[in-house]
Amino acid sequence: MTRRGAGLALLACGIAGLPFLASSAYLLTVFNIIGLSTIVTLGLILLGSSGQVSLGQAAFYGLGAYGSALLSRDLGWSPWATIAIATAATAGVAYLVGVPTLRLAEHFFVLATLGFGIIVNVLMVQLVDVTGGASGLRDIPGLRIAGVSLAADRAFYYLVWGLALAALLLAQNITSHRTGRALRAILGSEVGAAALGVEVSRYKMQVFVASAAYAALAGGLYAHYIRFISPSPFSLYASLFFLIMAVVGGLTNIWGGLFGAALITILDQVIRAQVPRVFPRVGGEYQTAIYGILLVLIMIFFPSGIVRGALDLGRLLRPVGPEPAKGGSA
Amino acid sequence: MLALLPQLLLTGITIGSIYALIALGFVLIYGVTGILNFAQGEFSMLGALVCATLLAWHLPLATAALISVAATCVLGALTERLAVEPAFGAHPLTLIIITFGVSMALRGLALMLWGADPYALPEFTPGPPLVLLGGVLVRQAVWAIGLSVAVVGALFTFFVRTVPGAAVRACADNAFACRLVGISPRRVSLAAFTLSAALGAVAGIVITPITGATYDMGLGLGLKGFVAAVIGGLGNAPAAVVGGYLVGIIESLATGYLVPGYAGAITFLVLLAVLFLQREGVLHGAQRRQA
Amino acid sequence: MTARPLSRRLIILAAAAAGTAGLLAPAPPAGGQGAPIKIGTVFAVTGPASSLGKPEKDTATMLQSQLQSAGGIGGRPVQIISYDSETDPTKAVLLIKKAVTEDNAVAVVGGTTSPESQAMADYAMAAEVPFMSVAASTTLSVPTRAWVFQTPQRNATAAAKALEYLVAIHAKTFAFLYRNDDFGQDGLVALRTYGLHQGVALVDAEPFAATDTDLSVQVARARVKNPDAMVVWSTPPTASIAAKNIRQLGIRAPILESHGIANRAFIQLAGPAAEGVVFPAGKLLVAGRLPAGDPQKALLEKYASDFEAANRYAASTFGGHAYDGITMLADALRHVGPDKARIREYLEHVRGFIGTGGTFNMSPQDHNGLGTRDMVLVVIKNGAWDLWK
Repeated sequence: MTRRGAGLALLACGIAGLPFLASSAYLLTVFNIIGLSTIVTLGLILLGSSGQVSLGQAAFYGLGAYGSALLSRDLGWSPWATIAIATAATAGVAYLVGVPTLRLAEHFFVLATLGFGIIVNVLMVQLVDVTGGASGLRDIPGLRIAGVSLAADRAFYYLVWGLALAALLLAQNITSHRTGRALRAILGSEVGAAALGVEVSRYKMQVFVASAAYAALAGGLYAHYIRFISPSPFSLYASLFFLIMAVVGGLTNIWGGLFGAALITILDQVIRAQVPRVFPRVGGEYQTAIYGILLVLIMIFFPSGIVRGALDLGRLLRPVGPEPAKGGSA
Repeated sequence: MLALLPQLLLTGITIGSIYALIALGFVLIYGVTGILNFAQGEFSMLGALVCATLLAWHLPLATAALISVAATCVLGALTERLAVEPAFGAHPLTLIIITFGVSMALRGLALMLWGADPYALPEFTPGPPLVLLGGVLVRQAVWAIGLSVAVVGALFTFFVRTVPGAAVRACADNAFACRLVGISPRRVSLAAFTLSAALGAVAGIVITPITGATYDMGLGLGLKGFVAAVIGGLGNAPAAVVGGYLVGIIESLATGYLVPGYAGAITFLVLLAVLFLQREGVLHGAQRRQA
Repeated sequence: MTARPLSRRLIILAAAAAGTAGLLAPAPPAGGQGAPIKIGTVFAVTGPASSLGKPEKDTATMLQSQLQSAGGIGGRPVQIISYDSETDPTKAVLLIKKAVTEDNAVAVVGGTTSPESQAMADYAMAAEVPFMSVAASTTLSVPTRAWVFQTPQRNATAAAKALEYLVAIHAKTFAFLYRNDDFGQDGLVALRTYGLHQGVALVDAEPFAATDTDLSVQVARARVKNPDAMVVWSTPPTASIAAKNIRQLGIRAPILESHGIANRAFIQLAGPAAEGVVFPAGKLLVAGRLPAGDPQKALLEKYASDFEAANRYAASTFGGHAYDGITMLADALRHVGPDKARIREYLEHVRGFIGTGGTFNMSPQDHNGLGTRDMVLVVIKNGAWDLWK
């Protein structure tokens, strides 16, 4: 435990020091966006640890963003309060969505979240009087502490990464305590876990609501940082992207969530810089093709990340030996 | 407002016939392999765009369509071999995510090859639309409806009356027993993807004269076809076709009598409702697959 | 229990971070006769709006080489930096920030779609950098914002031009079918308002989604109101589907569409239904048919032939918006040099500047400077564009 504490402290130091390496405001902005994606990705991996996958994460992200933006803009409330309210409200929405859907088998749960995500996105476009429609919402108030604006990238950096670390700790706690053991049992066999007296559905609900709250928190922060929102960053494509981040970095554990968003963002920069050099005439959406192929490759060669959810860091670190027997669900 | 009804129904049937063809592709793959293939809509996109390109090279429409369907078949087979087969036996979730990856990859490649502009195909049999009960039905819709019915018929004949068809059905029931008698589930899976790709391509080619074809048409069509397949219970081809027509008619009625613009949301509300209500049936299907 | 792997992971993170820092670090400024003056451009080269953003970016590339062979501006080389926003407002904000803070661009041109432009405009205001938007949403320049300019004819201007057609054919009522996004919603508001002033009443408004494959339900709903004209506000393929469905349902009323159909795809997709469709457009489309005295004629023909020679596809009005933004900035640089505040001041007082979109007459109250006189009504006749009389 203390070693983990030391590791965390080191990580915190590294994150705290990063802005001093950054050579420009733009780079800091990139780090901030990575921080926001990291919070969403952590939620997805937390969910993955109960054997669930969601394709509706961008909708929760968007509910947090629109909820907080509207409350603060139109009612004049403090953005701090509205982020909290929007996050809590989105958690409530997730609970309502979870009641009927979490009973579905995993691959139907994923489809239910996909449907939910599309419905929310349609509402963002259609409810013009509330959301501003496809043109989006402008003039969203920025975050302030004691009258001092947090609009500066560096201030926001410490805020978002502080929250990302807190989210990481919370996810760690959820997965490594009693609940986490229960989750592991569920991964092995849901029926078996239930037979052992584990309240399967309660735990699944807890992590689902938590993952939605993570996404909503990040969404609220996003809205007050960029100060303009429109439906497009909250579409099904965005959900797919969060999933790729979770799959790439997460593989098997919460810590991966820290890397997924960063790796994909770096990859994005590299592809953007290199591909036009190799194929100067390609004007198309080559990134999509590359991400698609990447997703397929990861799922073929490292599928256990999503399926087993494997929060169990220890097992990963054991010397390479025979694979543990697969769960009965495959 | 009742005066609108015939037109709403005819429009619903037109769109529905397209969803039905795509739903059939879903059902075929799901029934045989237990995989929900979200790249299904991309087969339609590729079929349509390849056909449009061949037509631009002055091939006759029928030849262009045939070559395009064949090319899409090859692509379906490649998808199965390169993306699905290596993950054979993996968890259904893994396979769903893989198919989303394939869908993204194909969409990206299509954009590189064809760009973002829409492409057109001529109607198979040009002429003024038919007037039925005060509503109009474009001639191309008759083709779409006819094809969806013909394909169900052909599939039914194949699965019930022929030996390879029976083999596929046997495989879907019990893969292990199948291997015992010398039928390879992997070959059946390959066949299912190839055939589904053909269905998708046909759907894409048939609707393009009505809608035009763009690189990003696949995901939307695929999702609607998927909803149709779920309504039909996912394992049942004729029910999936009915599901397709239902989704088309629901969308059309919702647009006509409720607020236009929410049709997409309503389709997915129907999906959620069906998932909740038919939980038993759907779960039953899933467990059967896992056996 | 996790200390060792953690530190390993930390090393990886640190390495990755250092790698990013290295990759993203700005390149050292090019030497030569004075450091180059930089103009940032952010277009949606990929993503859903790529058919607009691609010609915009290709125009920027073409202008870069023209400026280069002309020896730069005031003896200093000019560098046009191009970024791809992927039709994503968040990325657009990131990239305008990159252009301004990292590349030290003196001004930015871009924002292919209205949401991208809105997000970029907010940043331009905060960072006090001149921003030339290439999106058409009316709210980008109404009300006027100090640092935000707009080169395309506003949607409201196009709507006003479109209304001239309805008035000319003595239509008293019209139905409005529109794509339910910023483009369509903008058109709806403008046409309803202007129609009210001119005695042309909106009797039905039918929204649809960009992904819809059949609009006969919307058309049937509109038909019930028996309007004198059908107005469609969208881009292909839905703009073409609407025209086809209107004719299929036996409606004979004239069809008026938006400037969003100013490309060949509309005619190809709509087929015979495209015949007789009228729409407002910039003059580029009918450059060859303009009267010899038109001040824009020479410029339009030169832009079209230069663009086609450089890119091997036909020029579009979208690339023209980028052309106007960049050339106007170059003009400002020639007169006042690379000073953001003075560029802004100069742009605000541009008069009689001839661009592809029209003759720009800016003022502190009008950061667009175009009007209905800069647009024409185009009719589709025998599958080709012609001036509507």
